[in-house]
Amino acid sequence: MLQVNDLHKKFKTTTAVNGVNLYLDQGESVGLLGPNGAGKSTTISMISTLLQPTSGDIRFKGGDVFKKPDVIRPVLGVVPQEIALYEELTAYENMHFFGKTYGLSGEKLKNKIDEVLELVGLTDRKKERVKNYSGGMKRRINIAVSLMHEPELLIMDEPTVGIDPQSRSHILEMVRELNRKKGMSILYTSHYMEEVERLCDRVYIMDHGQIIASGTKEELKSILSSEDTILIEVHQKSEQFIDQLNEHSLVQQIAEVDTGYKVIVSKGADVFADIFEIANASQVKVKGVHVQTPTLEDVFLHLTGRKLRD
Amino acid sequence: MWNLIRKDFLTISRDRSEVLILLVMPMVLIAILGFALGSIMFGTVDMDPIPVALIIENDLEQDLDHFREDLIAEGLPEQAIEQMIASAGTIDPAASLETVLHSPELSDMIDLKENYDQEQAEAALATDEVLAVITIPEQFSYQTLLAFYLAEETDASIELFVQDHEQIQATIVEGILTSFSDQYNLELSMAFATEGEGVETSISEENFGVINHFSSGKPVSAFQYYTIGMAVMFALYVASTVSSNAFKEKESHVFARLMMTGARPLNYLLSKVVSAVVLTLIQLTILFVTSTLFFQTFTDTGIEFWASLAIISFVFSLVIGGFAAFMTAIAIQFNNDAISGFFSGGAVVIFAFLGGSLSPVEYFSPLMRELGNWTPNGAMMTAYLQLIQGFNLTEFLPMLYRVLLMAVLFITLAVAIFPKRRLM
Ligand SMILES: Nc1ncnc2c1ncn2[C@@H]1O[C@H](COP(=O)(O)OP(=O)(O)O)[C@@H](O)[C@H]1O
Ligand SMILES: [Mg+2]
Repeated sequence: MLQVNDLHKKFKTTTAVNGVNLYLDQGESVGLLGPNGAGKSTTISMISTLLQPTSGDIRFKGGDVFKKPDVIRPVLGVVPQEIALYEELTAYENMHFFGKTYGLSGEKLKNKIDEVLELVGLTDRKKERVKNYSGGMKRRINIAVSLMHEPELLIMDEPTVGIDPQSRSHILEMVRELNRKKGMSILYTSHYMEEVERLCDRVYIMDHGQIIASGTKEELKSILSSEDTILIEVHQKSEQFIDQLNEHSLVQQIAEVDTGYKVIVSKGADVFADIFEIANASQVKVKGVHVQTPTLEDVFLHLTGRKLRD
Repeated sequence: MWNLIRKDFLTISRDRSEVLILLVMPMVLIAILGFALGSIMFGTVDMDPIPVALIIENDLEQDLDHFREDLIAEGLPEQAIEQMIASAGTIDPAASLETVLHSPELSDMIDLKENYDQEQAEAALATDEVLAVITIPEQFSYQTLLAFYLAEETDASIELFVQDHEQIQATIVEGILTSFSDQYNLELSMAFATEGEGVETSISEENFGVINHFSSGKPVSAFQYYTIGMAVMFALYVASTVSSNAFKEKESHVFARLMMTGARPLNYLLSKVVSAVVLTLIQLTILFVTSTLFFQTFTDTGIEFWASLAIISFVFSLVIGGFAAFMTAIAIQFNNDAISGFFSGGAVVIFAFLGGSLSPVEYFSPLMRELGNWTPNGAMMTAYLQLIQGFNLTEFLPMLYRVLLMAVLFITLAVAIFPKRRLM
């Protein structure tokens, strides 16, 4: 359905997208995972015909989207990263306005608004102005507006940034339903790997304008088949501890997490004794050490040496 | 399209500060300025005597001879002729006008100058040396007599030329002359009425001493002046309101979202023109109607007045629409709303000043006045004021054309500047 070939976008000083290839089949739910500044939003802007690529092409159902933007636009729903709404208008008015720009009217428009409001769970707040909404409610209306015309392909750009857990799980559940029950194709962008893991069949991992890995979740995790992820929980952190761990021949990557450190080591390496020894030497009290099944976050850590967030 | 405009209307009308600027502020200023400056406009202030040139080209003796010849040709008996000439001779328009103007009641209001000929007087009028020129033309008595006695059509009239920018003085001179000509007509009728039979029937209903309007009209009251002044000034804010609203759409990414729906960029731009036109019309209607309800600003007017007011307002709203589109195009193309801020923060006041919204252009130099008439608000203010003074549409049509031209120019520039391909 969607094919992106060797896409590049150069701005004056930066190359935001540097040779992206991806595809999406009808009915698929595909994740685009990457840290801030990876070039996800820029890629999406080009797919949604708002931004001309420097080079490369984007095909939708076989046709170039820039030559015939009117093929993709009516069947594409994009949830922008920003809250792109009229804050002075109510949720209902926003939906009414955008519904009309998509050519809906009369009873059909009214019914659609009611249906989508129900879906995002804001029926009883529809008469309130958007500016009085909480962050989570704004996000939900931001999504609702993109669903007014029943798009075939829904692209969501970090739709859950900065919201409460309740709104977040509502949104995730909703997206899953749209995909499973309505057969909507979804391109879901996020830097939260849990979301992508939960929602998507296939995942692209993006960094510095490039796709650095892609495949099903299982395929990606098998990248880590020769490594183990070890979580070391500590009482207080210490620079010295990290430095010494880094010097250990079997340790490949280290990243700080809330409760301590995440360490990627060669598969089966018996490093537990060494870890405790190093901890002792640098006077770090260890609360616990766990071997974990790898997550996509670990894949990213492995590929880039960095964590997704920060 | 209507959807886009409705949305602009909703978003702008819900912004309390916009409503304050577009409607409340002008209304408050109309009230303040109208009450504070009312007395000045009505001319109760001390005034120097008005310099008036009086030119008498009429020669009573000669006209009487001329009239006698006509009567002889008509074949009237000689005695009747002489009687008629005698009574006609007692009414000398020039003398009576001089008497009136020199009268003690008027002597401290009028500074009469009688040593000019027509040409000199017109030159003096142009340089403001005199503010009015009254001419009793050649054969005035003769023409009058013909009309009265022989009931012939004539164009006998005392001519008055006044400086149009000295409203109060012009009005005073005009008033004096009107009452004089009424009196003269009355005297003339009486003189002939006592003549006996046949004469009454030949007295025409026509009035003489008709005032030739040079460029003067009815006076403008302070409330009328400042209602127009504030209306044209604050209508300018509609343009910056619409363009900064458009920029907000761009900044909050709704513009990009809108473009993704397949909306055409030029349609969007056009919707800004129409939005500004509609908002301006609503604003002007509210201001004019409210001002009339509270201050009786335009009460003694007819349907024709309101129709002309609507036409001027519509033309005005078009230029506001054009300007709104122009600023929208700049703000969106350069991704910077400095233009709206610059316009509403400073340029409006300069425009308003030049256009005469803040103080009457009468106090300006001719160059400044001309400059003011090249601002859209100044040109429209001139048109509105001319309408109030009783001129008809054809006389301020040039101003309307000028403003229409500006509107077309702004829209053309806006279309040229507005990005047609880059959508975010
Ligand atoms: N309009 C632009 N002009 C210049 N640089 C830009 C522009 N948009 C994005 N960038 C740069 O391109 C890079 C990728 O940005 P973006 O696509 O927003 O990343 P992501 O959505 O993955 O966080 C960043 O370094 C950003 O600063
Ligand atoms: Mg982004």
